[in-house]
Amino acid sequence: MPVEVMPISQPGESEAERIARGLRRKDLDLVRELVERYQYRLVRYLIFLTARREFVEDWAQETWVRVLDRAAQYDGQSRFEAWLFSIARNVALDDLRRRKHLSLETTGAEPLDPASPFLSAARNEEAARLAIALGGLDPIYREALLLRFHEDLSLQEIGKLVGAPVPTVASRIRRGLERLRLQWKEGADEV
Amino acid sequence: MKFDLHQRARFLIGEARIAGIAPQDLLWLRSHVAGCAECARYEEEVVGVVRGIKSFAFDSDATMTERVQVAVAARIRKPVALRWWTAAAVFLVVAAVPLCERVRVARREKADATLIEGVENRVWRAVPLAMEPLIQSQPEQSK
Repeated sequence: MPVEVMPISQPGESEAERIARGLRRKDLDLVRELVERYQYRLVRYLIFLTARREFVEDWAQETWVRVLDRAAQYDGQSRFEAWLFSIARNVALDDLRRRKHLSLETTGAEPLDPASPFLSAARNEEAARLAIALGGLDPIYREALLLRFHEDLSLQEIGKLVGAPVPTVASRIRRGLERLRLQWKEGADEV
Repeated sequence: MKFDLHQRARFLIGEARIAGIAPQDLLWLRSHVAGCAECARYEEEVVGVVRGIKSFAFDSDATMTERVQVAVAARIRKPVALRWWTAAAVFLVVAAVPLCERVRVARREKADATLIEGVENRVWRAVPLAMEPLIQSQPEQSK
């Protein structure tokens, strides 16, 4: 009896195309593999985007459910993580709006909560200074920095994900980097 | 201090990490930074910040991943179960149609029989006993 297995890449098929094909078939093994492989990055993206950890599990779960519901929309022509993050972004922002928080674009930098996920992730003094600086940064800058330097997405990919033109994305990264540098330096000078 | 050169150098330091710069700009930047302590320190700070961002790691929760996997798997299985129930419902409907038709026909036949019986009874009662032989002989005559 043939056993249903994870789709194996067909000749000439890219990894993204393999994922797109598996998602269209609602392949359970593939979905398990994707959750296993991308869950940490998804959680990290959501924390960088919102600086909150308490709703992250709900958002991550809803994101994967939407990935399945909209599987037909992913054509495998772009990187899977970019598509995944764009869904996660909508999930988190919709939920924050429902919870009466301000949207990312209108909220200012909020004072850092001592329980900030950044601070609790800091392993040393230098990381703690960066955590404080990150927590104080506008979410749109934090998001752009994560996508560029952690996820290594191109400016075009980030622009598509956040719905902004490439020069705006470049400007967000530049400003975010400069603000972080200044705050990080100030912290170092104080120490 | 030539301000515009330092400004250019700092712009290129950032740009090299954001979108990349042309080889000739990179060459110029390297030669400038080699001779400018201030811009070299600026570059070190930018490199430090980028390295810091890249090294940020959150505690991973394996149980969260498992919970999400279970929830997503349930979501996939749900439509499959729904499909089976739908198929079963369609089968029942298809099987029920001839059954209902048979019941309907049986009821109609029973009703017809009752009606005929009733008619016969009424006729029987209406005909005087003395005329009974005439009625019984009628079908024979019609033949």
